[in-house]
Amino acid sequence: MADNLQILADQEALSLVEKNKRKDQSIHRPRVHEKIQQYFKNMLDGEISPILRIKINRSLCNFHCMHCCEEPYMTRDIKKETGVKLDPRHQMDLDDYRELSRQADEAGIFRFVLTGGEALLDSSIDQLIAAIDPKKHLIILDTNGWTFDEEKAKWFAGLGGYKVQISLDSMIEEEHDEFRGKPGSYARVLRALKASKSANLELLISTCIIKDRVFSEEFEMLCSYCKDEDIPLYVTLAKPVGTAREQDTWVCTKEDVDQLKYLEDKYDIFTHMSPSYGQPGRCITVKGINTVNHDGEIVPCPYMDLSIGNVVKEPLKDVLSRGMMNSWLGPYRDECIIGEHMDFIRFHNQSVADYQKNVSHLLPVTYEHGFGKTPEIDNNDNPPSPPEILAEDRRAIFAIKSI
Amino acid sequence: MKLFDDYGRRIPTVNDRVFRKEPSFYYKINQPNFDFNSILERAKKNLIGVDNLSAADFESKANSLLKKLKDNEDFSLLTNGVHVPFIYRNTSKGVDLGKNLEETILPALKESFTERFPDAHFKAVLQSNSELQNNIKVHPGSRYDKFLDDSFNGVIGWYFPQAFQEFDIDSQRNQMSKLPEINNVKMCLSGGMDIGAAVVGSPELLINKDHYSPILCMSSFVHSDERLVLLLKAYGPHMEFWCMTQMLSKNTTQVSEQWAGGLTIFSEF
Repeated sequence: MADNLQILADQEALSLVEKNKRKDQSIHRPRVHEKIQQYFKNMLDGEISPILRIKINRSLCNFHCMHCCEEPYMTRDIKKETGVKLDPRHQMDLDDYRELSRQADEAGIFRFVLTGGEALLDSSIDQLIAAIDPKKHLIILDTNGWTFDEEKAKWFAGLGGYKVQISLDSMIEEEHDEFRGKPGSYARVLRALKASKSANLELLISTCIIKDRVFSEEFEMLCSYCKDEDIPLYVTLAKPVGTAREQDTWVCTKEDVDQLKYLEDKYDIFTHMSPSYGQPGRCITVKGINTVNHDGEIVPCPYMDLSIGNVVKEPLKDVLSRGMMNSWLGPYRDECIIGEHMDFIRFHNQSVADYQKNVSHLLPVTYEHGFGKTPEIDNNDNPPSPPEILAEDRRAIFAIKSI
Repeated sequence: MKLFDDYGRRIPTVNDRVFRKEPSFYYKINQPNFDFNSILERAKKNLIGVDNLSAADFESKANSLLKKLKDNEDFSLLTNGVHVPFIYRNTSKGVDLGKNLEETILPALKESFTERFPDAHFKAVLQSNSELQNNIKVHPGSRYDKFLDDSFNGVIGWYFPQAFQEFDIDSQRNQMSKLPEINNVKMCLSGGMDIGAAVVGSPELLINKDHYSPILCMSSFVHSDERLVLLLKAYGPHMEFWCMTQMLSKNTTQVSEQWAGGLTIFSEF
């Protein structure tokens, strides 16, 4: 007969370390802690609490990465392609971000990622962090590490920053530098990792995989390095968008993704589709992450160029509700649609091509020209309700039960 | 009027809430080989089989049951879909369904799966600290009561995992009232025991290197918190059982291309 089968409740992947971090939030950021608890309480009602990933400073960047999905949003690309000096659309200002933070807080959202381009090139990032409010939200910084030295790490921690996500795309120095188009960047990444630890910031390494990399010796070296250094490794799949739009051969197959899932049991590595926060591994469009473009357009995945609405023009909750009712985005599915699902990739890239040809070169594609053309799901006539009596002890969190 | 399409999937009728009328079958299951000997051995090893039945008897009875379905005008197309033979005897008479799942079916799944795939894991996860014991009942319209009654003597059956693929949970549960009964074949909406037994016998059912598999809904089983549903799914090379919410939002339930209700036919042996 079988060994004891552990039936795991709620946080099936939650380590003791992670639990302690949550506990810390109740002291340092009580509002964040409250929202996390609320999320677990309301999870059975389908409540979502996605990360909001804010692209700032017109996505200005000091790198030229081979796999960049952000290039079409950068001023340098817009200028090259259209001759226009600057994106003429309204760019979100501090008041807009303050209002977004308020609406996010009201909706139970507790995580903001600041990204670019290279977010640290924004000289007013301190004001932005204050506008978002690090007491109410966990502020996470995406960086290529170029300028993230000890002084910068302490500065970010002092502003209330919570976590740093540093990109490292190969354990082989020359490969990383070549992929990132920036000689010397590997050494700067190692410096940034050390600086983050010194500043007592939460930390992870972000790495982008192309087809077959997960089977390479180099990738195993990276996993081992992260294990030795006790740094979680966040793996993203290269997507055939942005500068990689023509790179079909980079697209990962299910075999690559399965290998990652196998390695999750061996190392502290994860993807955006790994089980977390009591949810199974699945595509997290809308429900797990949304990107906020400079002009307020909400894109339901970091790697897509199609919007579900504009948060400067309408309430955040309406935009997210619309996204959840879209047949590609809301319903449960295991695979990463922009990374693996060729039907979706074709629809996505065709929508982008048509939009840029017929409407505007400026991305993202607005809702009516992209997702608005795909089916919505039907509503229920009679959805189930919670039981009338729901014992409070059933609401407990973090319990693990062995049988 | 045809009840099933050429792939063995139920043709949706009025009021059925489905992801789409014509399924994409992006989520696929390969038809497994009928290795009756291995299925029987796995069932015996995991306390859900019957000691005094031979593989030849199992095969003969299973094939005879399937033939009845193939010979039926209404249901013959169902057999074009993936179908998995199983054997199951319920030794837990009087035991609560949730407890039976926890103490027999899930451990049997783990044992069978990890023996077949030693590098993979089997996990069971209950969302939001929900409980199985004393919380699972049979859906009244599922015809599953008859399956349970017969299971105490032992049943041989066939599980059709994709019969209701892309149907929402409610629509899966409404199907048995829409489908005609067949004189000499017992049939029910699939639930925890039959799906469990089928996957114990054929542990590779959901594992595929090339494509994603549907998520198997145990829709005959209704949790006391009706927002919760019981699912069996692959996670890459792994397999997982989830008791999780079917709510997409406060007022809307999932209607997923990947979720699949099943149909089970069975007979006592």
